[in-house]
Amino acid sequence: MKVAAYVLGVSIVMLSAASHAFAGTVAPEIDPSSIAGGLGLLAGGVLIARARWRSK
Amino acid sequence: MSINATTEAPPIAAISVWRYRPQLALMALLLVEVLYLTISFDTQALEKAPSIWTVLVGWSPQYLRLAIAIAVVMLLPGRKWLREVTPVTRVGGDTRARLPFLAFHAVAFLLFARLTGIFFVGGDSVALHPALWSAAWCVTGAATFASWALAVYPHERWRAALIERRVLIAWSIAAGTTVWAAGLLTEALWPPLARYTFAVVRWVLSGLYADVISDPNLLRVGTPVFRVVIAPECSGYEGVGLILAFLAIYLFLFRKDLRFPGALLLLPIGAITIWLLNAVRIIALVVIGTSGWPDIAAGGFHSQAGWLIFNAVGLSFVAIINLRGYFMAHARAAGEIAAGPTFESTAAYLGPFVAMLAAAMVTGAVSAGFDWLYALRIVAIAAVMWSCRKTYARLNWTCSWGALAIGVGTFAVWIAMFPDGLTSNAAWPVALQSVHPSWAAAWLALRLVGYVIAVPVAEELAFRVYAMRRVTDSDIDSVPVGAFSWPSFVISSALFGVFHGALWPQGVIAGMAFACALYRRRAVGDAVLAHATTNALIAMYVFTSGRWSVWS
Repeated sequence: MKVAAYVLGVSIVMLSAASHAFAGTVAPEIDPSSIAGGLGLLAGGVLIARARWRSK
Repeated sequence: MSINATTEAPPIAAISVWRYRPQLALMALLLVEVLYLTISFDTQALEKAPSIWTVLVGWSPQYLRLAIAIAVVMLLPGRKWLREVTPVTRVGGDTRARLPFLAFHAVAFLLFARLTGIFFVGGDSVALHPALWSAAWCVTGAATFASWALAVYPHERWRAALIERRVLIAWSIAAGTTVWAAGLLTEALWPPLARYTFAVVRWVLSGLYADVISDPNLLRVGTPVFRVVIAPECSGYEGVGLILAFLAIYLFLFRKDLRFPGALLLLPIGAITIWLLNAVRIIALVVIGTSGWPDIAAGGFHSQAGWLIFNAVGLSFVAIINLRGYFMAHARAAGEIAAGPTFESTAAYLGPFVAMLAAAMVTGAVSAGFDWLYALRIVAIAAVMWSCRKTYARLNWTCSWGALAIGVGTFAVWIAMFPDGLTSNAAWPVALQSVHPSWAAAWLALRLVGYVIAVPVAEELAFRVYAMRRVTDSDIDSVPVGAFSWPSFVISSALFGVFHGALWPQGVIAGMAFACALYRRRAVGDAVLAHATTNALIAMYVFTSGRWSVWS
């Protein structure tokens, strides 16, 4: 059961990303040339936010 | 569970990723080989070939995606899974035992690449005997992969792992196949999604303008002055996919803090929110274009607005998750959201870089190809640094001549490795000549200040002071600035390279050089000086040579 629950959880993550990871089309809604900046901004924002809410 | 009954598996924390360096090197080798094949050969022509055998080979990108999906589902446990199948005393394995397989793999790969070249180009022989060529291609491909796998671990290890982990493997194959199939099905959903987006955009624009032009067949909508075609790829699925991936990963990573199943509600709410905001983006595009700024609408806004919306939604949801008790497993005590030392350090070292990225995205969105508002990046960096100024007093800001020399050396490598074909920033001279010389001089002066002072400080704080320590420990204050470890050195330099786009090889080398400048005396001043020297020399080179593309 533990294995099934784990694989199910990972599958949900993967299913969510599937449209991106396996679509294989470059489209203008999200500019691929700005991917580092776009994801870097989000990752940086999350790290700062998590540091704030984790602090005691 | 343990493969070797006589070997006790150590605690997870005791296993260093670095112990797996032969396996990591072989995985890097496989990645390079796959990248070489996928970049060098195009399968599109094969997909329309008359022979079913050729078509089956033409589907090879789908097989690769399927394999990646299964592998990711299977390997995401990471160290835990590796610990169970690879007792730490035998992790490295016998290097001599894997050399014959590595040699066989090299020969098999060369043969496979050669066969792929012949097969994908086609020819009389391939057309006459497609089944034979397909079989040869499959056999050499299988031999290439099998020899690689045997170089990674001996066959006894694979056999034992397959038997011991058969349940996980079976589940992973089923789940990976489902994920892969979902990716294919998603493409079929784009056109209907584009029609819904078109309907929303047309409805809102009809309330704003009396003379809205719309063509439902072509999905074209706008005004007589400016109109857009909503392509299926522009329908909002990219934002939906990104936000679902982000939220799913967030929920997965922080599942212990969250209340389930309530937290799963965030997934549909996030998807609907970002889809609606994509419609708002298209409406804004038409409004900006109609209002007299078609270049901005089609230029910076079109390319940056999607990222801005994605970041706004993603970070808003993180705030909602953490501030609204409904999604949290346990109610937070008041002290838990008070600023602590970890937050102060994270904000001080990562904040300037994040502010710079945000400013670049915002100014890019309101530009028509040339970022006239570049100075806002300097303002953003300075504002964050001013608010965190007390934290920087802990750092060693002294400089040395050695750092200067590292900066000069990095400049030399940067110029030597710079690709000739790159034409970025080619519009700079034209844009600067279009305004009064005093404005052009002021912009260049501010660009120089940003490039030589603000950016090096923000990037060194982010990559060398924050990322390098964050790789070692989540409590960055417990790790001394400039403490060396191979993972932190490699990962922080690789991240630095990623942020240099097409110039990533130079970026990785520069990141390593600036890290070395820091390691010498554990002085942040040295890393900043080396970085600033490199950037100053690049700027001087640009002014003297006229090669604006070098100015990254």
